[in-house]
Amino acid sequence: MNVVIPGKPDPAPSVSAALTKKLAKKRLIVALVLSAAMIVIYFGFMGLFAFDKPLLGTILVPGLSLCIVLGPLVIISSFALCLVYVLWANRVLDAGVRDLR
Amino acid sequence: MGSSTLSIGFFFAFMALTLAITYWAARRTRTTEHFFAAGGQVTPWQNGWALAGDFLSAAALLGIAGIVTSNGFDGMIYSIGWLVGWPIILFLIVEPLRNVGRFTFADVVAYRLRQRPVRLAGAVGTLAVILFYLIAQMVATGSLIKLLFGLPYTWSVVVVGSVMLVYVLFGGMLATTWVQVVKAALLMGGGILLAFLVLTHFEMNPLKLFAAASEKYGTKVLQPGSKVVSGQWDAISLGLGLMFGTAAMPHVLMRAYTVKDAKAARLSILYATGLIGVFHLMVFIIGFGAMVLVGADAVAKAGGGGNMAAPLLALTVGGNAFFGFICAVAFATMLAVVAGLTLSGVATLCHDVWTNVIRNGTASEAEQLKVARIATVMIAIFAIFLGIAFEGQNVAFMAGLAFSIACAANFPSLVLAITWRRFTTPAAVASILVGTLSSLVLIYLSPTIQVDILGKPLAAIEHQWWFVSLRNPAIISMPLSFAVAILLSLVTREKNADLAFDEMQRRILLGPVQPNSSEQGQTRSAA
Repeated sequence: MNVVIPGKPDPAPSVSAALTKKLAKKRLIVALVLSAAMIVIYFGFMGLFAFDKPLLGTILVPGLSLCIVLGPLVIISSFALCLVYVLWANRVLDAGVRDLR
Repeated sequence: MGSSTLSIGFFFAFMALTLAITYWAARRTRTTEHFFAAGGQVTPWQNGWALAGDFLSAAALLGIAGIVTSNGFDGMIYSIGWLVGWPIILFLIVEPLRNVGRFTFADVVAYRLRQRPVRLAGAVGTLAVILFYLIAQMVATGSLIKLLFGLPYTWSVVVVGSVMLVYVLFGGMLATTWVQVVKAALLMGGGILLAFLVLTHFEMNPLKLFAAASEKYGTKVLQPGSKVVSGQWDAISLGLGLMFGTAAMPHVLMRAYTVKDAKAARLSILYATGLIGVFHLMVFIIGFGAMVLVGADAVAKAGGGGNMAAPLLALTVGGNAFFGFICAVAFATMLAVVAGLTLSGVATLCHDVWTNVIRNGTASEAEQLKVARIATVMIAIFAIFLGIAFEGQNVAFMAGLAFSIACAANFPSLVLAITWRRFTTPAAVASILVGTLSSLVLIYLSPTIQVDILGKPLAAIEHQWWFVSLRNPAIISMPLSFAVAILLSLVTREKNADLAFDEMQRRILLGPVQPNSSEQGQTRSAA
């Protein structure tokens, strides 16, 4: 029921406030999920380094052990996660921010 | 020696270029906005390179290469740890920082809270980080320059301190940014060339290099060992400190303010992550290259605790000129890192302590600039003095301590201030102080100080009630800092902080720009 109550302020600011909240929440969720992914990848690797050195030291082919594969993979995945966030933010977040302005 | 003359020649070329930049920058540095944030006009690319320049210390090239040369794979633990904090900066920190703050990370923590107590505590955390990192850098600089150029230790420290003073004092953030960019370009260029020359010896195939290393020294060099990082939980604790410490390093965070908006800040972190990642992969090749082509024994014999691996490798694969170039790059690296650290210390002293605590936010531009310049001179003198005082001391732990304090003192309060409505002033202050103090106390009670520095035998102290077996305190001090923050937030109430939360969230997204004054740059209001 769209009853306009006299004396109430224009609804626009609260709509924009709600949209801002929604976008802020969305950004926080993306940020937390990606951070969690980074933490899982890194501490997964460090967990192996701390608690299962023999597994990490498995020689795959001459000149290549599991840790020499996984170490650079952690480095590459750090950059890949950054890239995912930046692509998302440039497309979705920035568009949302433009609409709010 | 010919190579020494060459390296001094390269070094003077670097000095001439950077001092010319400083002269140019000095004429454009008239406000605090310029002095601390280069007027917000640095481009994302420049800032990405400058971030890499700020963050990659001599330890990243000389130190890690040395560890890899003598221990193989384990050196990479540091490379990885120094990189994985960058995504955390990108996801959680840089955009709120850019949109809410002005010059320091305390701007963001104090935004909803009571300014004076929070800024004062923030200054304690920041200055502790900078102090320990600066001492570690100055001492390493003095002994490395002595090794590389034959210049006496005291003179090395004085030269680095004075040149750094000139950059920061006259050129502020603009000059410091360009010094970082030039240094990062030299470091990346030198690293790429060195790694490339190594690989030409192995048919451009890293696997052939690793295979040659394991043939010469056994497969253990390709496997994780326990010499570099001993203890299982210590490894996890080290990882925590490196990851979240990197994400809260004041001189890194400060760079968020040098670009024009949140998008530019975001891009600069992406570029920096790529550059630092590539650099660390090259250092791994360089370390193994030195192991095979120079030999672990020859590197150990050259002194400097393995730090000569990369320069000696340059000599082997590229001759005298390349050796001189790498030495000069190492010198430039140290100079640039101490300049960045000093500038962030100055920002804390001037913007947080003087302007917002002592003067309650009412200092004029002219006064702030004057204070900033006095603080610069003070920190430079302090750094030179400490560098000389700690000559020959084992200060390697201080860099790790700086990361632990950043991780335990700065990171929790920053993240909670951004994300948690209930966060209060007492919680922020206590969290920062507990993080700083617990890191200091834990490291003092650990073998790092008790055995390595004080020389007590491990057997005599390991059954004492106070003994802490962890060399890296982060795994205790960081959760402790979070726990104190959460507990105190729950038992205290701060109406203003609660009310300002929605406004802060709005500002994190939209920035400080008012709807009617759409152009950015001029309207960055004070935090």
